[in-house]
Amino acid sequence: MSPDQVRKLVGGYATGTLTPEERAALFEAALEDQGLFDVLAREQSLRDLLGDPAAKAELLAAVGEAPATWGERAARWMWGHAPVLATMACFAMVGGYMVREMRLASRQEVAVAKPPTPPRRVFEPSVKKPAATLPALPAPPVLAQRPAVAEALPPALMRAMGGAFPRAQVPAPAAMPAQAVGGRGGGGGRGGAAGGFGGGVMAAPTVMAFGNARAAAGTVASSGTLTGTVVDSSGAAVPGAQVEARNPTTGAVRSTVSTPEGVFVFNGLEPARYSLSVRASGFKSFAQNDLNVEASAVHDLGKMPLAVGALSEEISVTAAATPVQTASSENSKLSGEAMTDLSLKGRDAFAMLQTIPGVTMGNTYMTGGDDANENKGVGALQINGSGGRANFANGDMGVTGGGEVVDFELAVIAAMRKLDPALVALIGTASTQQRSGMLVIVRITLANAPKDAPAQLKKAGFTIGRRQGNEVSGRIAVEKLETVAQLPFVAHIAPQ
Amino acid sequence: MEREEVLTKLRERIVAFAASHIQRDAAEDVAQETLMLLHEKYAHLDRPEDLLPLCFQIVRFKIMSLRRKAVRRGEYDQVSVTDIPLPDLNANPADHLERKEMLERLTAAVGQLGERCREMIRLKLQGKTFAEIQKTMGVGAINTIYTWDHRCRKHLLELMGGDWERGKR
Repeated sequence: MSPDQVRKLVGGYATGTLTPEERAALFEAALEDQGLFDVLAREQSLRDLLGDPAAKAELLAAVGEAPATWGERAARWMWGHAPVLATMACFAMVGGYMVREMRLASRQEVAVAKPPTPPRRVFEPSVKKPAATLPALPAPPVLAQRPAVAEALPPALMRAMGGAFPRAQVPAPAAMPAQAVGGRGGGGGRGGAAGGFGGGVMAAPTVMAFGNARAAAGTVASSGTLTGTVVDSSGAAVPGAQVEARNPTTGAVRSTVSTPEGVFVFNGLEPARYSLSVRASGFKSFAQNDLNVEASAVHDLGKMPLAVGALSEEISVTAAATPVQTASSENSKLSGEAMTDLSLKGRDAFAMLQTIPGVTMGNTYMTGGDDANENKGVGALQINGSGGRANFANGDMGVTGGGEVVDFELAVIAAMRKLDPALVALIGTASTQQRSGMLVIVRITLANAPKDAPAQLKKAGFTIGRRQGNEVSGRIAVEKLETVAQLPFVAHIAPQ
Repeated sequence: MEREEVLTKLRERIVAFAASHIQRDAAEDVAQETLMLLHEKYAHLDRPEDLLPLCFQIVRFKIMSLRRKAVRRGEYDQVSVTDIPLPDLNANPADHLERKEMLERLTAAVGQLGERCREMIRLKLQGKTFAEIQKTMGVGAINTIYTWDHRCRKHLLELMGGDWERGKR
């Protein structure tokens, strides 16, 4: 492979679609070529992105459907017109059967009306024989005596038609009853029961198709996704691992195989607690129980390490509390640790808090005077649209105006609910126009963990303000208090 | 190629790459920490095709980590400058947000590509190798596929402003 060709392999790195030979050629070249090394290193972010199955699927959807081949288009057209085609096929079959029966009947009638069949050659046209010598054709009344079509049909076909089949209902495609031709949705089933044979034949496929459509619609609205990465003890991906998700309640089992990157994804899982098992040759099997899959949520199990050993040995893990889900923002919770790593590139802590589902931001503002006894609020983070500013709680803070650096702290009920047992506090400068400073995530471990901790904290007068000092009183026992994150903030004061 | 030789060259490459993004001293540190990690956790790997992808991943996270520290206010009161933790290779919400932004930009850019490029990307996302793409698209020479992909990637990168991660550098 020429150096020029090798450089063109870069595009296959991010998608992980290089063959072993191509990989070897590319990375050996990169080791010698700083330019190529840099290009590949920059490609890593794209590779990391595409390593996320959800992102990959979204991008794939954005790229769009593949242009269909002639065969695919034909198959798609036929599938799209399946009801009509099936109806036509039924008519053709029945029509063919009827024609055949009529011909047979006609032959029998001819056989009855005419004298014993002469040798076949007698009827062969001959210019020498006059037409009058041909045997006479049977008269129309004889034709009328042939058995009715319905009577000529076998009982099974009659049953399929829904019972008696009067001659007047002998169908022609153009005269097909609308109910039977339609055959769409529930109407098709009723058409069959009412005696229209088109409806009867069509009922099964159409009902099935609509059942699937309903199921698909339901999947979008109420299913969850389970994903993870199978790795070995060194963290390397284990491809081809058999992964099985079992719903112990219903007994439903879904299985899949991990990708070359070790990733597996179960889409469209009914919300339930699942048991997951992973099996790969050369490794001990791995099982994890009580995995709670919620609707419209992506449950990422992260890396699932397999230990080397025989398949007969199994490592079983029972799921503890659901970890922070990073595969998607649905139903996720935000930890203080995650806030610690927050990049400030183009966003702030309030924006970060809004990544929690249900949290929205109203107008950021500060109100109140300098008196610590007054209620002062910051922002309007809302939880599930309720409560307005009360969610980003009024707190006691000691503030003096004019830009003096002061300490004040707000216990934030919204954060308390979502980041429990963390509280968010603000420490910063104050002026008449804006206040800025540090958003501080304070982890408070409560000894008795009351159910209504935020309310009780307030009731207990929990403040760490300069004016009021560090006070913890009431029934709440604070076991531990630590700062886990600090982030700058700017809050503008609304005009009074 | 011996493992030691690979690591020596790797160090040289990492320092040069990192120095184009962060200060030279920090770049040396990144290279050193990356090699330490490769030495301690991945001692069983010795081929460039195994070591380089790991190296890219570690270097990226280390540089990201350094950037975040640099922009974070008050960090030096909390964490010792010399006590730089190993990067957490698992995604966190901040990574998730950045990836979401990148995906949005990528999705928008992909929509501006021509049909052939979208087809190339589609097939690659479906996991097809270049040889399989050649067969699927009915192209005679695989070099044609290499060239098409190279041009498509270049075009896509241009549409994204020359960098997959805007605003990071």
